[in-house]
Amino acid sequence: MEVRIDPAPDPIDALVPLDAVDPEQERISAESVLPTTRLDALLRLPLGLTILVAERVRADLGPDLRAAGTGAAFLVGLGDAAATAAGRAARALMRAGQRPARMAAGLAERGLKSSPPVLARPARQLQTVAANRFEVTILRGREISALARAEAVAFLNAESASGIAWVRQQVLPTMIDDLAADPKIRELALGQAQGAFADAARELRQRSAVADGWVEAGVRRLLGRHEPAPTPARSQPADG
Amino acid sequence: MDPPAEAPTAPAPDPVGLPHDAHAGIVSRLAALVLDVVVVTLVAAVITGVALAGAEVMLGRVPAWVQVPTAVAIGLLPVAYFTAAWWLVGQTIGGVAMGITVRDTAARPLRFLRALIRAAVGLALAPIWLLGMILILIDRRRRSLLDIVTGTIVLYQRSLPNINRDQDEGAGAE
Repeated sequence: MEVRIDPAPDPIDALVPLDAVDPEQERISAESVLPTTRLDALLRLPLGLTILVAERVRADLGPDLRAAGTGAAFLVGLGDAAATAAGRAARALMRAGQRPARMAAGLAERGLKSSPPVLARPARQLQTVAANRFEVTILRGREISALARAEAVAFLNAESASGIAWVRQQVLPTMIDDLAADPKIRELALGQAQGAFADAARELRQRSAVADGWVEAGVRRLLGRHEPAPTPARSQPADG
Repeated sequence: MDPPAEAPTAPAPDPVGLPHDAHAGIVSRLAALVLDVVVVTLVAAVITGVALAGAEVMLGRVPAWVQVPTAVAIGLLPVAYFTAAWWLVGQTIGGVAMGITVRDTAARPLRFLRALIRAAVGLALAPIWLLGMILILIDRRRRSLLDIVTGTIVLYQRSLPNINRDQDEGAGAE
């Protein structure tokens, strides 16, 4: 069986970060690939969460670790293949139990009679089959990883949305009531408001004082008068 | 020219050698006056509304014994407001906002009679009060005509600590 490797980038590596995913699109894609049984989804959910965590860790650690995607995909595919094939193999083992014996007998008979190139052909076939199996396992792992990741993102989005809604409805009002009733918070808010008011008043006073000087200087220039007289001595009588 | 009841026996010395810019200028004083007019107008509106509307609701009409005291109160309100503010704290609400305070020529807080005369004269001759503020622009101590007539000065609030300190030192030396 020949398997064609798609030149597309590694599905795990090509997946966008969680915060860059459109929630609506993510929900639709997750729904479209939802499994037929809840058990499958439950099994895939930890895998998807693990993938998301791994993505986050790799994004934080740097691009050098992105090459680990192929190995991870192979392990995932291998695990899934092992799980799904276990039952099938058990059944097939009963039927195929007689075939190896016949094949072994045939090979032994043919090997004894044939030349070395003829003996090498089954070995090459075995190698090709093993390589194809490896590639198929990787592809399978990638598909499952993408599916699990999409499901995990949808799960996290749904859970975070419901969690935020719960916090808004249940926690925030209580917290606000508590904070509003707290004398320290009230005192703090009052002090903040007073501080803001004092700052605004100080700014107003400074600007008006500057404007006082400007207006006066302008009038003085118009009238051709000099700067005001120097500060009078304390003992000087008041002028009027 | 101070009122007879409080006329000083000798010309008051310039208190503590106040610099020119310790006295409030025309912009600050006009702004404070505008704020005070707003405050007085609002209070007058509230008093009028409460009195007249209350009488209307409770009596079905506004009798003369409600109208006359209300009119008197509204008429006296500005004088009462400015007098009380200058006498008690030296500052109206507008003055607090703009950071200016009214003192006598020795930079002391106004006494009641001087505050009353300043308010009554100023409000009775309001146009002259306003026109007389032009003198602020040319007077050495930024005094308006009303200040000259009633023997007052208007200072920035920020300059008061220096004045008080100097006055305390002067009293200690004596």
